[in-house]
Amino acid sequence: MSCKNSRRRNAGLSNMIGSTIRSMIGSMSESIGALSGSSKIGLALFVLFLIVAVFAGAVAPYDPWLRFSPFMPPGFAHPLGTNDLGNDILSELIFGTRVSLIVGFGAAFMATIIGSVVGLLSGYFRGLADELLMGLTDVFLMIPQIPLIIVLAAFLRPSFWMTALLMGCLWWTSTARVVRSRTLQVREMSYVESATSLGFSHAHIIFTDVLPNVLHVIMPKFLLAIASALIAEASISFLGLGDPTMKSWGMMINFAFTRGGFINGYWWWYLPPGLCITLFVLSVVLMGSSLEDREEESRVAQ
Amino acid sequence: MLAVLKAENVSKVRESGIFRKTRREIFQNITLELEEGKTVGLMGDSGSGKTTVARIMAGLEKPSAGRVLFQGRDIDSLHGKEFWDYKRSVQMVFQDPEGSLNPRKSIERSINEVLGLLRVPKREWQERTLDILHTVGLSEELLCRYPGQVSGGQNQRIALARVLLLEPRVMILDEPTSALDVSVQAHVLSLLRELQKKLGLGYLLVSHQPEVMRNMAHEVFVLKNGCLVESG
Amino acid sequence: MIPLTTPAVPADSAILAALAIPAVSDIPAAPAGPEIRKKIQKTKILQLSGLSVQFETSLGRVQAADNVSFEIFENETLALVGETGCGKSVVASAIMQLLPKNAKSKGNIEFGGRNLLDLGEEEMAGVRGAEIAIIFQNPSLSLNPVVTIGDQIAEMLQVHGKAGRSQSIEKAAGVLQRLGLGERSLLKMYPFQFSGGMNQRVMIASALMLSPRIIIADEPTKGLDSATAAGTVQEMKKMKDLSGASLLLITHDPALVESIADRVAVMYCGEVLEIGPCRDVFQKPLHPYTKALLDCLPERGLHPIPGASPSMTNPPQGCKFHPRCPMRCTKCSQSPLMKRMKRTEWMTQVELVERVERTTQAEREERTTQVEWVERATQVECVERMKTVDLGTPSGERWVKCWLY
Repeated sequence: MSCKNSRRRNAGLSNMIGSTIRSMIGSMSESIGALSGSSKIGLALFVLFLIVAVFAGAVAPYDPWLRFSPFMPPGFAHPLGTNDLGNDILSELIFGTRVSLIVGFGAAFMATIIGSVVGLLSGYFRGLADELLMGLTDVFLMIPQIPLIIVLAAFLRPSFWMTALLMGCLWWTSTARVVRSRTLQVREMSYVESATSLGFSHAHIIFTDVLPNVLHVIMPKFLLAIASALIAEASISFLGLGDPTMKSWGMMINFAFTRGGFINGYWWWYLPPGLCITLFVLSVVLMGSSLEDREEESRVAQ
Repeated sequence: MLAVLKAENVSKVRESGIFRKTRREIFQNITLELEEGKTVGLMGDSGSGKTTVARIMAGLEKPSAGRVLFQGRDIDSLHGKEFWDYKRSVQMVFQDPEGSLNPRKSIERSINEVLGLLRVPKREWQERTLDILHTVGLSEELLCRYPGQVSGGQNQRIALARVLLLEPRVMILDEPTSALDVSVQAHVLSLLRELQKKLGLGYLLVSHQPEVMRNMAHEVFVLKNGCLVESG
Repeated sequence: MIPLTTPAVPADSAILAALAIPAVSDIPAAPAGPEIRKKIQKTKILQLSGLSVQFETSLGRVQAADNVSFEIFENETLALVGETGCGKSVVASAIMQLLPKNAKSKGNIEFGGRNLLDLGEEEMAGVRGAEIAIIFQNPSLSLNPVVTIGDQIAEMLQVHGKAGRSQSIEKAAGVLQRLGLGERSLLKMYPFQFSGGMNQRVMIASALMLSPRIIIADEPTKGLDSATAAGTVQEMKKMKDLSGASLLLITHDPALVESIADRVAVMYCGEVLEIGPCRDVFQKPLHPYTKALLDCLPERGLHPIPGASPSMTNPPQGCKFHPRCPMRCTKCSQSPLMKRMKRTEWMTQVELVERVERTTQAEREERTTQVEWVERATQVECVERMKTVDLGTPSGERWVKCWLY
C-alpha cells in the first residue's frame, strides 16, 4: 500500500500533538502559497526581519554597546551614525530587532496558546465551562490593557520577560472569542458528531478533529497579536518603563527622546527604529489580513 | 424476541430563552423498536423532529421524558463494559456526506483511528482496512486521499466503513442519501441492503422520500404533529 | 445462434394509433390537427452547436462540456439531466457567459441572431436578466437579507433602466400577485420573514420581471424536502405558463424531469448522450446510460450503475460511458456520432436492443458478434424500413449518441 508514513500515525497523545504540529506547518506553507501580491511584500519584509533578528551578530557591523565618538551623522563607517554614547545606531537597530521580535513573538505565543485553549474548551464543552470561561474573557476585556501593563511594569521590576508575559496574559481575549465561535461551528459538523458516536475520547476529538479545523483562524490572530504586542512594547519602552538593559526599538526611541535626539534634530537616531516598527507591523498586518480574507472566502464558499 | 434498541414513550421538548422560557414540544410518547435484520423507516416533513428521534436513539441527545432501552436496559444505567457494548452496537450514519469525515485527515487516518480506538494490534491494521474497504466496495487507492478529493458517494461509504469496523448490530441512518445524486443513492442504498443481508444489521432509516422507504423498509412510521403514525 | 429476423415491425398504424399520432400520409393531405400545428409553429430561440468548455486547472485540463449541441424552442421546458459534475451547470454558465476566467469556450450559442460567445461584457449584461434569466439553487441565500422583497424584485427593472422606482415596484406587485403573493404588505417584508417556498416565488418573480424569453433554473429543488420540492415544481410550471418563456431546467433528479419537462437532454461526462421528448425518453430510453440512470430511481428498483464516474481530467476514450456500459462492444472505444432517430426507427431499435439485453451471458461475451448482428439487423431494418413518420416538428426528434443505433 502506498502511504506508509501515515500508517504509523497513532491515536496516542504525543502523536496527536505531533500531527497537529505537522498540520500547523502544512497550513502555514499552504497559506504562503495562496498569498496575494501585497501580502507577498509583507511576507518578504517579515522574513527579512526574521533573518536580521536571528543572525543579528553576523549582520551587525559592531557590538551595539561598543563606543565610538558620539553624535556622528550617517557616514561610511557608521551608516546610521552614532548616538550620545557613541554606539553605532545600525548595530543597535539590528540587535533591537531581535529584542523587539522576541517580545512580540513571546507575547503573541502566550496570548495565542491561552486564547486557543480557552476558546476550544468553552466552545467544545459549552454549558458551564463556556459560561465561566467567557465570563473570565469578559472580565479581561474590560481591563484597560496598556494602563495596567504600565502600572504593573512600574511596580514590578521592569524586566523584558515580564513585559512579554504580562502582555501575553492580557491579549488572549480576542483569540479566545474567535476560536470559540469557530469551534462552535466545527463541533456541529457531522464528523465531530460521528467521532462522538464512534466513542472517541474528548481529547482525541479536540486534538485531531477540532483543532486542525480551527487552526486557520488562529494563524492570522497570532500574526496580528505579534504586531500589537510589538507596538505595546514600544509604547511602554518609550514611556521609560521598559528594560533599559535590553535595547529594543521602543527603547531606542526613548533614548533619542530623553537624551536630546529629537530637539537637536538627529533624525538618524529616532527615525530608523520608528520606521522599523512601522514596517514590521505593516508586514504582519498585510499577511494576517490576507489570511483572514482567505478564511472568509473559504467560509463563503462552504 | 427482545429488541436490540427500543425507545419507550420518548418525548422531546425544546426550551429556549433565558428569562422568558418558551417551550416547544417536538414530539411525545414515541415508541420504536429496532431488531437485527430489519429496517424500520421513519418519515416526516422537515422540522417534524425525525432527526431528533434518531439522535436520541443513538444516545447523542437526551430525551425530555421516556427512556431508551438497549437489550431491555435503560442506556442511562449502563456503565463500563456494558456502556461500551451499547456504544459499539448502536451506530449512526449522518446525512451530510462531505461533512461526515474530517477534511484534514486522510481517508486512511480516518479508518486507522477507529482501529486504534478498538485496540486492534497494529500488524492487523492493513488487513482490516483492506477488508472493510472491500466490504463497502471501495478500492485501496482512496486511502491516501482526503475527503475533499473523493466523491460524495465514496465519502458516505467511507463513513459506513468506519462505522462497520465497530461491528454494530443496529445502525441509525439519518437521511443517508438525501444529499446525493440518484445514481449514487442507488449505490449506497443497495450496499446497505446487501450489508443487512450479510451481517444481519438492523436499520432505523430516516428519510423523506416515500419511494426510498418502499424499497428499503420493512415497517414505516410517519412522524406527524409530534405523534407517530404507523403506515405499515 | 442469434435470431436475425427483424422484429415484426408492428404495423406502424397500430403503433401510431397507440401513440395518437397521425400516420405520415395524413400530414400532407389533410391539415394537421390543431395540436400538431401548434407544434409545427414552434421556433428555435436558442441553439447551441458544438459548445465545448475547457478548464485549465492545477490537476490538468478538464473538458467540462464536449461538443454539446441542443436547441430550445419557444415555450417549452427542456431539462438537462445528469449526475453531479457532468458539466450541466457549466453549460448554463456558458449560456449566461458567467464562466470563470480559467475557462475556454468554443462553439456557437446562437440567440436572437447573435453568437453569445462573441458578445462583449456590456452587451451580455443587456441579455442577462432581460432576455435570459437564471434562477439559482438556494433561494434564501440568493436573496439579499437586508433589502425588502419589493425593492429586490423591482431592482431588476431599474438596473436595466426600464422604469423608475415606483413604477417598477408596481410591476413587482403585479408579478407577485400572479404568483399568488397578492398582499401589498409583503412587498415591505424581508427575505428572512418568508418561508423557503415563498422565497422561491420571489426569485421566480424577479426572473419574470423583464419578461425574458428563456429562464434557466439551476437545480431548483436541491436540498429541499419532498413537499417543498413538489411546491417548487408547481411554481415553475405556473411561471412558465404565465410568462410564455422557455425553461431550461438543470437538475440531477430524473423524477423532477418527468414531472415538468417537455424534452430532456441527458448529459454524462460533458457530453449530451441523448435528447428527446420527455415521455418517450422515460418510457423507452435509447442510450444505455439513460436506461441505467432511470433504473437508479427508487421506484424503478434502485439498481446502481456499475463502476464509478470517470474522472473529468482523464475521461475514457471513445464513448465515455463504455467502461460502465453493460452493452459495450469493441467499437465503443471510438466516439459514436449523435444520430437522429425517427419514431418508427427507434421504436424498432428499442426492441432490438431489448433483445440484445435478453441474450445470455455467453452470447454477450462475444461482443463483436453482438454488434455485428445489431448492425446487420439495422441494415435489414433499413431495407425494410416502412414509411417513417416525421412529425414535422423538430422538437419531436430523438437524438442519441451510441453505437447501438
